[in-house]
Amino acid sequence: MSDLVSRHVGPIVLDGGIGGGAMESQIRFTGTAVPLRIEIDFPHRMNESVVQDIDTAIDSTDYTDRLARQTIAAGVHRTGTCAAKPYASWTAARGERPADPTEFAGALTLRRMIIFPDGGRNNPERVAMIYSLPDTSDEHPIEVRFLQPSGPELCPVNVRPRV
Amino acid sequence: MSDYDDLGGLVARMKKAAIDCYMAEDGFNPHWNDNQKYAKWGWAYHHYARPDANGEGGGSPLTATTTLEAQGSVAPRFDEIRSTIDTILTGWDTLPSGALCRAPQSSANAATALLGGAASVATVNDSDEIVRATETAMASLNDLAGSFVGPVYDKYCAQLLTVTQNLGTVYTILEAQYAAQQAMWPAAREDVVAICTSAAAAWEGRAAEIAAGARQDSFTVVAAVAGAVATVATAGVGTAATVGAVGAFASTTVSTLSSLDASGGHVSGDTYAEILASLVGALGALNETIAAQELELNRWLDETLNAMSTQLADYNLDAFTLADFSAGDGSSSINRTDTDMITTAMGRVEGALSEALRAAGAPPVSNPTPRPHAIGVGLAGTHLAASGVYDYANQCLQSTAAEYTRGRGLFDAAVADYFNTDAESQLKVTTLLSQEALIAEMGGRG
Repeated sequence: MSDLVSRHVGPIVLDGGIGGGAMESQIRFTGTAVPLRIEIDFPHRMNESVVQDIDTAIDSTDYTDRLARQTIAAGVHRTGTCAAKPYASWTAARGERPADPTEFAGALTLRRMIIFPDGGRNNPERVAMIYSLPDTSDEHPIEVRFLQPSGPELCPVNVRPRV
Repeated sequence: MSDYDDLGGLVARMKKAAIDCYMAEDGFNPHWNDNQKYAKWGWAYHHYARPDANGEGGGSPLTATTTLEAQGSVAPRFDEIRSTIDTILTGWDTLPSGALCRAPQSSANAATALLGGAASVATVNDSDEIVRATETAMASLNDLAGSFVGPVYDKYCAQLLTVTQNLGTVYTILEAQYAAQQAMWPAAREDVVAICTSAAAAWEGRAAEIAAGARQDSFTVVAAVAGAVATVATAGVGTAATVGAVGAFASTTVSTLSSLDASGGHVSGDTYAEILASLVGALGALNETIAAQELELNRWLDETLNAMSTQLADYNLDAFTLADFSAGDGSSSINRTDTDMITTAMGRVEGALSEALRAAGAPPVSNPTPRPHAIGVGLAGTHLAASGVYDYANQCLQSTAAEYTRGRGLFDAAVADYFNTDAESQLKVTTLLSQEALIAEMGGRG
């Protein structure tokens, strides 16, 4: 049993993976259980402050989700983003109905959340939010990465999907 | 407006940078979309108000989450950081400019120019008036014979040249001291600006590196600060070199000043607190450099005063005692042409001494480099030592001028009496000698 306990996910127990450690859990979001992964780059420096950062990230999932959807809506027309192809499919499926990026972003389902609370020189990423359209496979996940300190960034299409 | 005149603006930048750094170490960066506030990681929903452009305010929580409620405001911590910086910089924001040293430096230079004795100093345009007139008198004295010739030659020619040239050197030392002070403080001001700029840049750079995700690793940004703060050493040696250039004759002092170790400004560390400690260390090193130079100047001035008081006759003609001179066989050989030349030449010397006394003026009434007591060797700096030498040199010059005037009068009287009886002349010489034995006014210093 870890001495470090998150308000949201309970005791922090890392799997001791190579180069760090990770923990799989889940959160409740809009009434649904969403998989949550916590990746720690420096397990030996893990402390209360890092756990507090994890809880802060989970506390503000609504806010992060809102920012992520705004970022997706703003990027659907940019060729090469991971949102471009799903948006094109979604638009085609609508037939005569007008396509609206905000509506598209709102229609997405949060599939997974990943938190990287302690980062490192090569990892400024702190949170990843991964979406897909409802009733579709995870073939074309849409991922928004939140970097320190530059904020949200819509991933390019060639990034290896994390779902 | 110089950079130092805008130190307040730089201090404001330091405060904001220090707080940015402090917050970055806790994972808070300026919000990616609103730089008026900090956000966890630059974007998460955990915000605090950021200080304004002047580094003031900030610290209040702007979001309400369970975590935030537990943590509360960080404004008190921001106040503490600002107060710490203010305390560290106390006194460094009110350094003297050195400009008040310009007048005494100029006066000392003018006195030296008239007295001579420091021809090797580039800043002095020696008039040679006293030397040339005295040499004229000496040449004419050689043509005379009489009991008073020897004493007049010895005291009012040979010793006079020793005294005036020594006094000229003393005024040159004073000129160098005021020149050093005049050069040192603008350099110190520049160093303060450089140190503060480096500290601000270190905090800014540190915050930026942390923001770039380098939180867990070591940093090199502070090494750059060490390079910038090394200007302390540069300025220290530079200031010493200024002293050296002006007072090139004081080779020991110059050597001592030039070898001052002003490398205490070395900076190391990679956290907000360590950069703060480095700032304290750099200012401490600067202070040590200033103090060391002032101590050296004070030592130099003290030695000068000591030399004057222990060898007073070489600095004050009135303190010179004539050796025993034989009255000879009582015969005299004097012609009017020679005595006229001598008295005219002595008149020129008399005028030059009087002019030198006027040119020397007086030392500054108050310290021309006022500073907080914690900076340099103390509140007085070199003011007391310099004023002591200055006053004493003026007294010596005044007594010398008065004594010379008296000597010239005696010479004239002796010459006038020659044409009546040589016994009268001998009487005058006897009078002169007996007066010399008294060494009246300047028996000791002070």
